[in-house]
Amino acid sequence: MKVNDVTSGIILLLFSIVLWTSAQGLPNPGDQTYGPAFFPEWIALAMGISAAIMIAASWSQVGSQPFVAFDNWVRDPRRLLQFLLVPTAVIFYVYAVDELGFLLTAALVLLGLLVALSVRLVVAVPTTIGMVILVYGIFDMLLRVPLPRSDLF
Amino acid sequence: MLDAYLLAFEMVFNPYVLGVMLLSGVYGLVIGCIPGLSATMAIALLVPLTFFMPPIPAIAAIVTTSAMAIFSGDIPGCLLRIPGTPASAAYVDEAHQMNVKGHPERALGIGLVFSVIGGLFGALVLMLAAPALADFALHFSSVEFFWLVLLGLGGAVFIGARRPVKAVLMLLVGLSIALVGMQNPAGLPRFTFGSVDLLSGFSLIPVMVGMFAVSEVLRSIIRPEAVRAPNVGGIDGIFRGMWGLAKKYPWPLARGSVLGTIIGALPGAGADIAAWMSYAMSKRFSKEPEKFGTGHPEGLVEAGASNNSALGGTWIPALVFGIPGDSITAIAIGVLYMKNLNPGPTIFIHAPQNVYAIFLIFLLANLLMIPLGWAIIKTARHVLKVPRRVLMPIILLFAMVGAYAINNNLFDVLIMLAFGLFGFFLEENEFPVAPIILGIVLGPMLENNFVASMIKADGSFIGFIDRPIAAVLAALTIAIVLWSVVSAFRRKGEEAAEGHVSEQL
Amino acid sequence: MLTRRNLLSAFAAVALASTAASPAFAEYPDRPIQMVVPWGAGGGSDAVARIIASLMEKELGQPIAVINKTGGSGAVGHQAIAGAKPDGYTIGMITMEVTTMHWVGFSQLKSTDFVPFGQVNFDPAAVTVRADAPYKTVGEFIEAVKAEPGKYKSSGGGAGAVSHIGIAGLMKAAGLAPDSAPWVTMDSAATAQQELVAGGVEVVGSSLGETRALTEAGKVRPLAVMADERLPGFDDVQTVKEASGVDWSYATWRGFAGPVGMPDEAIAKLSAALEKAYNSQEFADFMKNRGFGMKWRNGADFAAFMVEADIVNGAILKDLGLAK
Repeated sequence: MKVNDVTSGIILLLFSIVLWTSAQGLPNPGDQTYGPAFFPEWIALAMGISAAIMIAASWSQVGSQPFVAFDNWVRDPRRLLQFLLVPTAVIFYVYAVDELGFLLTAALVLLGLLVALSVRLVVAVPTTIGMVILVYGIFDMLLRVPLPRSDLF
Repeated sequence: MLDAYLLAFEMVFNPYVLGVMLLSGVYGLVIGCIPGLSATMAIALLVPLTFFMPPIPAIAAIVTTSAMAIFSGDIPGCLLRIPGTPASAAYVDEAHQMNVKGHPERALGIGLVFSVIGGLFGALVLMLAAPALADFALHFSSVEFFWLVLLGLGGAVFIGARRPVKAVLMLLVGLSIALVGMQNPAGLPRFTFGSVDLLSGFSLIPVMVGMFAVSEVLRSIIRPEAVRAPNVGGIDGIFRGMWGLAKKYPWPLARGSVLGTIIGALPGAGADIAAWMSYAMSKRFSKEPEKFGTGHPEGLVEAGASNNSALGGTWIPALVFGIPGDSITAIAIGVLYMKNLNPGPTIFIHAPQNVYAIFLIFLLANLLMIPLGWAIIKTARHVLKVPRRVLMPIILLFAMVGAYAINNNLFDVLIMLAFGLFGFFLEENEFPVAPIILGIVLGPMLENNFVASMIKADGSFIGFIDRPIAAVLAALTIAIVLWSVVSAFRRKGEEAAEGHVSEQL
Repeated sequence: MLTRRNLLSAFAAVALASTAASPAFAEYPDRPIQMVVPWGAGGGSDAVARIIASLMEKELGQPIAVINKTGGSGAVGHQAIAGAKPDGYTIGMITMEVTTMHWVGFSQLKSTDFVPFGQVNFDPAAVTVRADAPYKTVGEFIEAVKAEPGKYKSSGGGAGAVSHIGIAGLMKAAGLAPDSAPWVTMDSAATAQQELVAGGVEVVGSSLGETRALTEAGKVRPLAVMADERLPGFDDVQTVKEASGVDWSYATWRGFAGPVGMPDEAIAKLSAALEKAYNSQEFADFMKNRGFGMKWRNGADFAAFMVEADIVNGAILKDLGLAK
């Protein structure tokens, strides 16, 4: 997805306004002169000014460039699916790893992605097994990072 | 003193210490290479192991690991455009461009050789001038730090960027991200949306892994043809032409080493900040600034030397006053105490042989980097031969586990994903993502020192410039901003005649 | 032949066997234990936790992994301990902030959300100034503040830190407004010391162990310690009371605890292991070397002490205008 500089400038300008207003809502116990809202206000101010400058400088794009445009890959179902698979894989990992344990979840994620990117099974399966064991070895055994375990493994 | 040095030699040159250095060298190189594992984390994960070692090997392990990790963060940065550690983020595009042009060996060789030179310089300064430099660093109050951080931010966005307005906006986005959580002077939860996971804010590592690694994975999926690295033949002649570069760029090399050491010696600022400032400085003083960002060696020489010399610098206040120079030495001080090597001036009097042994370890670790670095570059080139569609899922797996490992929290993996998508979107629209990382790194430091200075000055601006070092830093900061604005307008004027007004700001 | 159904039932059998087997055969502890530290790697709390963990490992025969969960002025890590599965495999270090953070509004947690195993440390705050400061005793310093309230800035860490409460409480005990030496928030005790030496603030409230390196370097000078008696190892530093007549003492402390609902066997074993670790020579050497104060309270005493400290701190924080 491509947006032109006027659009992104407007988004950032809106963001700076939201930042400013939500900073006003921050509590300030003990009535400190430079409380929690002090620094966010400066950031919001600077961002608002910068965004306004960018909108002004890019104003000539209006008319010549669309506000929002989509690239070709978005219309190619296979590419789009492969793209969406990455967030899906990460979300699957996060929600499954405590149930299934690290070894099984990581293997499923890795194998699934490799196959979806049309890597042949002859390559994908050994890669998966080798890499999952390598990651497990480095993190869990060497560095004592407690990777989730399940009753299965 | 000679006796003490002889003792130190004996303490360092024995099979046990050398073996520990070799192993931690390999460990540091591997960890630094993996996106999402920073040098700081490598050290934090090493602390439990140092528990079982005598003092000198324990220090040797920490020094060697951190030096190697800072260098090897350059490797995935160059080969895949994924910086291995935050210290490599400043010049990742430059190194990657050099790879794309077909010279990965040159980019990696620069990283290695000038890391070693910078590292040795930092070590020598540590040996010769530690007490004097530490005294200088103690003159920095929150006001000086405020200007220093502002100078670093200003330098990076105004000098480094093709379109300063976009870089400034991204920097402000980074600063806004750093607002989240309770790490603010008031100690209150800000913008946490009621989430307990957000109380400690966004951790840098998951955000960085998302912005660089996950977004790269996404890019390579939608454009498999475009990102193919051209040079699959191999990486030979890593050391070729390095002497020539050193002769061609003596000033950038010296400047990077000196600035790196000084930044390192200032409490709270370490290798990552040194790299940003040096890269910006290199461009500012270069005779050919237009070549920066296209695979030009000059900035790599300066920033590569800078981040490794910072390492020696960070140990200066740590050893002399027990005040950490950065997050790595904050951990190292803990280990020093644990090993009965209490930092402080008395360590130089009571146990000089221990201090000299630490100096020797610094020299040795940097020399050890030459063969080990060469070996890992030789190994890493095979990464380029692996097809991207096999490599990218593996990178995603490492990224997920790396993001998890920093806090042992799955929430960070989701953060990584969110910032991966965000980073992908930004790059598609030609927004630079590196300033966001800079904003997150320096945001808390800027706010803490700003607020502390405001309280001390009772809100008056005079309080910000009435100390000599602060006044100099303030003048430099304002000069950089003014210079950038003026030159932007001048360029705009010139180009207006040619009709490209909108591209300039 | 291995059919899919076979494979599945084999999986199921293994899974069943392993879940069914674990409570029957296991004697606590039968796997590694996690110890959560609410403060960063390399800091004082982290060092104490790591040495205790390594000593308890020997007693329990299982590795103890120290995990730093930082953020929110300790709230994040304390929450991770109190909210952990109460199986005895996630325990942690709790610090003085358990009794302040719910007053300040960082967290809902109270000391009663933990089952303590014991307290191991006690560190009084101190009054430390630059070496070239004109005042020689804490009494002179208080007089100087009295003459020009608001001129002398203080620090020592974040808002609500031990040194903050210590200094504000000292002012109040001396009959001044608590904010007579206005507090400048810094992100750590180390940064505050840097600020003191650089001339940014006039006084810090950090403990004597924290400022020892700079004291030895001749950069700073401790005036007095906020304790009832002088501290071992710092015999030449007066107490606030003997130096100025102001009756005021304040300290931070550290102990170990787990979530409510752990099995009794685990509590007993962990408490015994902690006590052994506390009484070891290694621990005593470490604490002395680091300049940390030692203090043992068993689980029950520690729990009672925390309830009391909670009330005291609540009153002080309200006085200072820091409590919600």
